[in-house]
Amino acid sequence: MEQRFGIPQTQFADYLLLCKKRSWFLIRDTEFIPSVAPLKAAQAGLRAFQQVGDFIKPTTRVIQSFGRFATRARLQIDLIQLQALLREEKIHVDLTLDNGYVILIIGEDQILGLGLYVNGRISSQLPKKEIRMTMLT
Amino acid sequence: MGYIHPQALTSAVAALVLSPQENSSVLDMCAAPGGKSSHCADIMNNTGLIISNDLYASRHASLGHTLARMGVLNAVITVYQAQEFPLRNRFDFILADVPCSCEGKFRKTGETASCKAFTGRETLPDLQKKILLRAFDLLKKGGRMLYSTCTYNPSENEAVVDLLLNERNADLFPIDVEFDGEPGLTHWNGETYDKRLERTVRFYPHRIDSVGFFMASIGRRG
Repeated sequence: MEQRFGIPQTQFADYLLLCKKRSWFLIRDTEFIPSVAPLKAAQAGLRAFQQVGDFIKPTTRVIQSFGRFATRARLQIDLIQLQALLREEKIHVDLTLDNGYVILIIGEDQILGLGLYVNGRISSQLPKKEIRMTMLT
Repeated sequence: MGYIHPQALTSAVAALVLSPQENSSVLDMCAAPGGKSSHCADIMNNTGLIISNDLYASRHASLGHTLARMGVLNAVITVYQAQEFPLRNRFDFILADVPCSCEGKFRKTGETASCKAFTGRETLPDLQKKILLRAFDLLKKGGRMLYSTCTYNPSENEAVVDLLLNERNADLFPIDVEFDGEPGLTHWNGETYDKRLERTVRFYPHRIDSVGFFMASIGRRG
């Protein structure tokens, strides 16, 4: 997160990172955690990262929660660009960035989630069932 | 994106009445679909810990989805029957928003037909009493809990809280909200309840244009 987006590690200092299968969950580290650890749990914290092939991808939720601390790989888009992404079209942008994920922002710093930047074009990584359907109807 | 989460007015008031503090421990005994747990997390500024409990795996998807969409970073989803939640931990704040006959929603959803046909409501008061007693036993000294339903039936409301007052060293606290509520009943259908039940609140749809609701703010006596 620091290398790609410039989100300082210190932003995660108050959290624990838990691994379950191919996902990592972020949960607030508190004095209560050890005492509740024996409870039967279905899930702990927010799914923050998941392994996709050989890569570890941040989830939309963790980007929406921590993306405001990012200092690079951010892209402000407008409504027309968003609608194009939601139609699964790629948008052309001129960024001095290595290929990889970018944080998509609309309006006054409202973080939508991630796009994938490859050779000057961005494709949507936004959750289909929510943002896409809402915006297209 | 979690900027907005629609709730009935009375449902939204539940977490406000409970008012969990930052860095505290919270147990939401019947948490799905997660609106009140998320609201608690927001009030707590995502600090401390919320145990969002719900027995049914079929409800965990909606619960997990709500918590994730709202960016909740301080919750653990557990899978116990509320009335059998393990006693090894104690909590600063507990929300017992229990299964009920949902009479308060009928005006909104027009479910009067299903109200007549609804079976199983006879067993609800017994379940509610067990959940409330267990919730109280899980409460820290100095802690605060909220018992709530979205129904009018005194057997599921005042009678349940009355049993708690009789069987545990519990007390009721006044509930101060900025819209019309009516005090809980102290007698109904030939039964007389503890006078402190007047500190509970009933909300009626025709007064507040929302879902009917009952709330009792509970702590340990003394």
